[in-house]
Amino acid sequence: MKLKQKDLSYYPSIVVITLGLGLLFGVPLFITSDFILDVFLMSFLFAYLSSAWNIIGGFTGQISVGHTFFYGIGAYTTMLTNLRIGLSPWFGLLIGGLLSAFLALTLGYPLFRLRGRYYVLATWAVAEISRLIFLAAKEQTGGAMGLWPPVYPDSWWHFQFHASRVPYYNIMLILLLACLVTSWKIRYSRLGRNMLAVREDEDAAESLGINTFRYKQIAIAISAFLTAIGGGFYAQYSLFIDPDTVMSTQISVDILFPAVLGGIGTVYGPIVGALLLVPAYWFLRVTLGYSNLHVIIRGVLLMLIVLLMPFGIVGSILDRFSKWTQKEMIRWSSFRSKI
Amino acid sequence: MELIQVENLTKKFGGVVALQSLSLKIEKGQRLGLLGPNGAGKTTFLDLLCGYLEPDNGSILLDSVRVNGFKPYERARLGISRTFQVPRIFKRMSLLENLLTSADDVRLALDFLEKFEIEHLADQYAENLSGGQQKLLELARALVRKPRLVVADEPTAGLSPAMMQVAMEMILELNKKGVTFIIVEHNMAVITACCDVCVFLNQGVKVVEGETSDVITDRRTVEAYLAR
Repeated sequence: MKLKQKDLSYYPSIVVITLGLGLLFGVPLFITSDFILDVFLMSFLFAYLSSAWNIIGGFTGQISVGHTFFYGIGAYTTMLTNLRIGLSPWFGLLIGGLLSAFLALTLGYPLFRLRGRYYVLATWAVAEISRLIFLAAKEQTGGAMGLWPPVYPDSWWHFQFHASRVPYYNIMLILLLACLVTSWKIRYSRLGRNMLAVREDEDAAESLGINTFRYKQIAIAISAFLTAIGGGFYAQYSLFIDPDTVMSTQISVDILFPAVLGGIGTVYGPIVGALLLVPAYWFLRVTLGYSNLHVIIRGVLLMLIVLLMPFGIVGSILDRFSKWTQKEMIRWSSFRSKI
Repeated sequence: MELIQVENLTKKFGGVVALQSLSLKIEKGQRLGLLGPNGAGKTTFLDLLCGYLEPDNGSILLDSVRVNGFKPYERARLGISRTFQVPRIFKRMSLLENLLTSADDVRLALDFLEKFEIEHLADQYAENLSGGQQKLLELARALVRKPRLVVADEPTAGLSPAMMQVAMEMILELNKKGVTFIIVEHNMAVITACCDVCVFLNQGVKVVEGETSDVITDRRTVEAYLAR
């Protein structure tokens, strides 16, 4: 492989990305406060979850308000395989992801027969019914008492780190970057284009030979897989789960909200949204105390965004710079084809 | 050799008979015009042909393959391309991406945009186009797939004379390459220029069929549709 002169224009981008990554992985070197590191980590977790949600909600336009179901499946699978059969949580993450994708595909058959608000309500119903089942099945899930794994000394194999949060931080950052790359690869491929076509107009997409049901199924399977891995990570990070902490409707809203703020259907929107929202949430919570005023502020913010920036922050920027970004896309396509 | 063979096609919506026992054949490479007043059953016929509706009775054969029960995307993969009365473009995608949902070849897509004289807008969101340009984009997206049959519902409605010329030239150019067309149109100039045969429908029934010049001068067409 020999790159031509004009391909050197990508070197600045590579340098910026490398510096950015170095900075992100270097954050724990400068931050000693566990609380602030926790805020970083939760920002990354919700950026990851929102980005995973964006594949079905943003790219394919199937607005799910029941993603907490996949999150909970991931958390419980990781915890239960560890507790019951002593499996390393790393395998639990993978099994949870696969199980979640399988359940998503199975649920997709009835759910994707619905459109619009009926689909939205059905996703909520699935999540809520599952939460109630998990609450009732005390023998298996611990019910409202929850579950916690046996405590081990710091160990990568057991995915437990008590002395420092830095390993969790690094794992979450790697997961976020993997999700971002996945999202980017999907968006700028034929798969992503066809998903967007499904979002824009299903009848028109079908008239071009696009099997809309198949693309929805692919999107929900990928999204559920990634979301479940996020749930499994959270189970290991908090070392305690119960249906209200990993399967509540509030989590679905928390997953969806960053994408709405940042820009539904854009690659970077959910990341930008989470990096603004989660720190703001903790700042308000710390400064306002436990008055729940932060919930009202968040609600008002959501309404303002929907009214003033219906395509979110990144969506609005893309509107202005669509010409430039599309050219970048074409350049990248031609660049990759030379490799 | 027939590309499309329709036999006794009937579709009812409640008590309304939208299409009554329609039978017709379309030869490969033909340009068929579908005429009729509002409510004649033209769009219903297109929806039945493309799989958006299922007939109550009758059959549709595409190249001798019975396609009843086939979903729209399955029929599209057999070579049917469709445009809609109101253009259904992908608004939050660029023009280029709109075409790339139909064809993977960037060069071909850009070539089509150039032929339709909208290549300078290739990287813009499609929602920024004028109504006429949206119509052209939809037609370009249908044609870039290299279809065997193009079903165009009022492809020149709302186009300026210059844009109309571009659309008609593309239809004729692709027809020369063997693409079959079914065109629903109210503009007689377009029908005369683009269609070699016509069917006149009224209240779901085929009234006249034949050469374009014969159909548009037929007394029944004139009385029921052209009001001359």
